[in-house]
Amino acid sequence: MSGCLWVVSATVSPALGGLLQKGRQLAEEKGLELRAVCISPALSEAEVAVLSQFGVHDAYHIAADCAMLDAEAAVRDCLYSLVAAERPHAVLFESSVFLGSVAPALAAMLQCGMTADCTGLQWSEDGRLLQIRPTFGGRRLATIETTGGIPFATVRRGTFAAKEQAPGTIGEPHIRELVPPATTMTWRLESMLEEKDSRDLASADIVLSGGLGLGGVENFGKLRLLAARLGAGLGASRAAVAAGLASYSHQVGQTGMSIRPAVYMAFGISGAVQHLSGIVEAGKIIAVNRDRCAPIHQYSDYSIVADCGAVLDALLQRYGESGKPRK
Amino acid sequence: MLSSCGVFISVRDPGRECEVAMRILICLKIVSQPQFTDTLRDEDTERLKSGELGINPADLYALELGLRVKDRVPGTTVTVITMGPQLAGHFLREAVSMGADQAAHVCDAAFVGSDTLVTAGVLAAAIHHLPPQDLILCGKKAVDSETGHIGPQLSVLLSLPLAANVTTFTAAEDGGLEVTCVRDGGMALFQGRMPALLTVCNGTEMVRRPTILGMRNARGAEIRLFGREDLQLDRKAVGIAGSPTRTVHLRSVGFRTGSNHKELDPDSFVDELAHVLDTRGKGACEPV
Repeated sequence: MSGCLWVVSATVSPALGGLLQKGRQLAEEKGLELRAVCISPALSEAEVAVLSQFGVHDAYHIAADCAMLDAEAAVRDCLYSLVAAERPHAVLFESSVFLGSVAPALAAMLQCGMTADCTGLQWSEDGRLLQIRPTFGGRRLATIETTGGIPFATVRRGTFAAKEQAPGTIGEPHIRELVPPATTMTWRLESMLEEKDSRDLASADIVLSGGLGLGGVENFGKLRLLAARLGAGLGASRAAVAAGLASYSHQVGQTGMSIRPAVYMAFGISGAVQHLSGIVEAGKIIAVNRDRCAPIHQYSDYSIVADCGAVLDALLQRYGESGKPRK
Repeated sequence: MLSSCGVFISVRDPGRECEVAMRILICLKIVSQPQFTDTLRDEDTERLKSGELGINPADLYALELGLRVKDRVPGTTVTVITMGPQLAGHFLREAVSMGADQAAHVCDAAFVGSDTLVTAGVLAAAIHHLPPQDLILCGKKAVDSETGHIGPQLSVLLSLPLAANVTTFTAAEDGGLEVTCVRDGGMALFQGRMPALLTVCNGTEMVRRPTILGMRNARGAEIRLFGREDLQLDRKAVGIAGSPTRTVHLRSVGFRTGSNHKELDPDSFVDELAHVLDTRGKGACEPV
């Protein structure tokens, strides 16, 4: 066998399809095979279907619950043995909180070069993997090559859009089950403080975000409601998180998350550079702010200079309880 | 912890009496303010004077959380460490003026150009020269390079349990540790024990300012310097030569501006806006 290129992910959803297709394209260009490594408590039929739909013949499944801190060390050790034994040509990790900590730790164990949050991948003329990533809050674009060890790269979610593909064209993938070594318990889960949101911020195609200009708890509640009706992710500015309107896991910007939804709607966010650098890659930005001079208007595709509460009321009326638009 | 006779007992070696209750190490990176797009260089004294440089926000927050433990548990020592050019020493003094007890500066021309893996390796080598630490805190990621690699890599190189993306924690005198951290799509509370390494998210508590007494201490504070030879590192193993990744190209990209900026009428925006939302931004906006 000529070698493999791995795609490692902690979720298997159609959103992973784009990265799998990119992985397959890179693999084919070098005469490699694509292999998926999925980390989850159990693989459902739907998840297996996603793998086969996007051309995965061979996959590993590591049974672990990514919500647990201890799972990080267990999965890291499991991947260490696997990488050391199989020596893949390159390993691409789908960015997540979980893999964001597992991947660099694994790279340190194997002394491999590691690149974070890539938005572009290609082979150089001399056959090295070029990893392109935004840096300095999205104002610089760096091209990085790996000169030592196996190239490891995390890839921002939603970077590569999945192209349509007929389902099940290659049949069931061959999946090998791996059980991570039992480790002594280091971190005991006391409680989940916040249950998973209906939509994960990182993979949501619409994100509604609120800032201090939104005007308090009541309007934030409306924003939450509208997000639920639209199936959108809920974001918040640093100032709103500081004011206790939302928890840190919703924070968008340089000190929070960098996201790339198709539509980003900012309510009452002034648009400081620290916030903007978290949304540079958003498809369309819609700004709602009463202040005409707020910098966010300048960076948005659509802006509404109006009171956020009134705009939310109008949209809530439009998107009734079912979430379907009312004509 | 405080024993009955009032002598501090080490968390790390229970039973052994010593003067230190808990040792906390904070890893700092000196970065330029978000509107500037250069990494720190030695000839940056102008930028230092103009206030463009500072301690990375998440690292500064980690320092604040470390100092809060010191406020609460008498006998705690807080040490700060940074790897960077000479002028980074200025910010180690700033950390001392805020309340840190000791400072270590990892600095050598040979380290210039080190990637994250090598930086973590050099820092780990320097940390091995310090007394054993009960808690090591790093910021979640730096605002310039934005990788978040150093914390997880240090945890492997120092064989410490890792909790990444911590928003708050409580370190008890008996070595117990309670951390609240961000997980994919939620937050969770975990219990563990020291020694451990935490990466800290930028939080919302106030970060303290230097005090007059602190500034006086900082002026005379001894900063422990670690060069390549002190750490017995091979020249070929550090800097650009030792790094397994290399930046081949770096270009500026214009900050995004609205592609086709359009202001919507506050009284009749709903249909247009709904169209943008329903088509996930793809459909052209219908003229009203």
